Amino acid sequence: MALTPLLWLLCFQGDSAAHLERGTLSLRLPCPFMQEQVLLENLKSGLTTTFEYRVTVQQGGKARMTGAILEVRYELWDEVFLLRRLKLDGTGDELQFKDIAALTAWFHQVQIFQLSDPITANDLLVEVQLRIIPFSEKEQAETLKWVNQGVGAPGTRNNVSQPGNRVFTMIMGNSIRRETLLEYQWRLLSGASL
Amino acid sequence: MNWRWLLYWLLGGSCAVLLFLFVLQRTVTRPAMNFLFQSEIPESLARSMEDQKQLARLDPENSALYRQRFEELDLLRRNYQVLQINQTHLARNFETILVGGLIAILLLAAVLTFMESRRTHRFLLGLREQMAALAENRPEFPSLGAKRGLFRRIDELAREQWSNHKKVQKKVRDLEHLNGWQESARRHAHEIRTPLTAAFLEMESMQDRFARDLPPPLEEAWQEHRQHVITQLNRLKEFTNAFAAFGKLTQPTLKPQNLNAFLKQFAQLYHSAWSNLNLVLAPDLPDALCAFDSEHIRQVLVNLCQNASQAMGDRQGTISLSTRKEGLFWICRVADDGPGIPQAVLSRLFEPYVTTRSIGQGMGLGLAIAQKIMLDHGGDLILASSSAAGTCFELFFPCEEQS
Repeated sequence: MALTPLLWLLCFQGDSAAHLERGTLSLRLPCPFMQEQVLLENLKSGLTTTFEYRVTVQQGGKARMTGAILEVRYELWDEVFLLRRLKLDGTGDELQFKDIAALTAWFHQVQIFQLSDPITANDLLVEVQLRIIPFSEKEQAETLKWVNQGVGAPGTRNNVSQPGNRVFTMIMGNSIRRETLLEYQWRLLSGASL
Repeated sequence: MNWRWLLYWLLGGSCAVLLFLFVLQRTVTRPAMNFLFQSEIPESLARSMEDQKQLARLDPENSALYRQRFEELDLLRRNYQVLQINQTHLARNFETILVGGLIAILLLAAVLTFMESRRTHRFLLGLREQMAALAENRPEFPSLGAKRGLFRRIDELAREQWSNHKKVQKKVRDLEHLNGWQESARRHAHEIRTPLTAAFLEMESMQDRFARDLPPPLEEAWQEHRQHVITQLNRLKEFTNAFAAFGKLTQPTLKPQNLNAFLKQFAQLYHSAWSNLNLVLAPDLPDALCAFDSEHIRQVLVNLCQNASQAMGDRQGTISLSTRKEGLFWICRVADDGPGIPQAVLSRLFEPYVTTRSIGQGMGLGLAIAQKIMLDHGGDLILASSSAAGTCFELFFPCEEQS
């Protein structure tokens, strides 16, 4: 599957993803990524699509960082999208969406950062990094376990401890990686309009 | 086959196998992976999952069972999808392993070749030193230090050549030495024979001229003195003849023949030649083709048997004959169970006029003549051992192929 690393330099000026009200900045994820075909296919595959975002804010010589992991899985039995959010502070919540439109709408409105301090200077720099991974760590571990069980399956005269099987499982373990499916980076530069 | 060549063959074979596997991987495994990861399988699994859902709707009582089956199928499908996503990595990693193995083996082969090259260079330097030692006739022969393999064999061959060279040198020295003695003996015999003949003639003349008219008492005294002088002159003549025989020793007429057959004939002919000796020939001796002069060799064997017989004295003894092949020589072993040779004469045993017998009983030319004969054959005569249990001589005959 092709990895599509995209580096977008996007100025939020006039974009609905950045909202300034009474000197307070709030950020949302701009949602062009939800239009990617490869992502839509992965979301419907039944695998847990993992969204990792990280927000770095530099203002007045100080840097702050926040981020979260969003795990989205299409529950094939109930035919709903399950979203699990894990924040850096350890808190988390679970949401459920009936279709992709609802999920996309949630991504549109979710606030990923809020700067409560009034913006007084022109030295604000916000960087948003989003990485989308096609499956979760749990699914990776399950697949490795499945491979190992298959190699050492009873009745196959195979044993995991055999040198050939060890090499095979080593190669498989090294090959099953959580490579990035899509990657985005946005940068907000404070300007005259802010 | 040398083990190094075997190793190189193994390395080369491994490279070839890995290369083959690599090509196989590129040409067969990737399509095979494409086949394995074709989309029909997850789609079929998805359909099966959908079927479970339908069954759950139609048969709500067993909904939990269908749900469980659905989850199992879902897990399998997800595992399959994870592998499908990493299909490229899988193919690449298998290729990397093969290429890595190939490179490792090539590197190993390069390192081994380099080490072998250095080792060869070191041994060649050692070999040059050995050749120098051989050319300069050094008393000590340097070693290559090889423990096994081709250079070990070369070392052994070079050492063998050096040893042969030393033996040949000794033979040449012995031959020159004996030739000197032979020439000396020939001259002495010539110089003594003339006055000896004159002395005999004078004695005969004196007998004719003076002894006839002597009165009986003087006649008796004359005859007694005359007989004494003639005895001494005869003894001198005998020694002179021995000198002459040594001096006139002819070159052998070499004729290819079976040494063991000759020995068998000798043992039969001389079976009762020495009353105190029992002549025994080893049984079942193979054909031993050598080029020798049978008359000369007979002389050598007679001389050795004669010596053994005299050493035995009054007691009965055995002299045994046997042969064996060693390198380029057939070796005839002549062993007796006599009292052995006195230590004092061992170092000069083959020198002319060296004898253990009392004065007047032997000239000490027998072993010198025997050794000269063997050297003239391109062989040698050596004393293999001598102790109170017996004496053993060995006669070296060059094999016919080499003679």
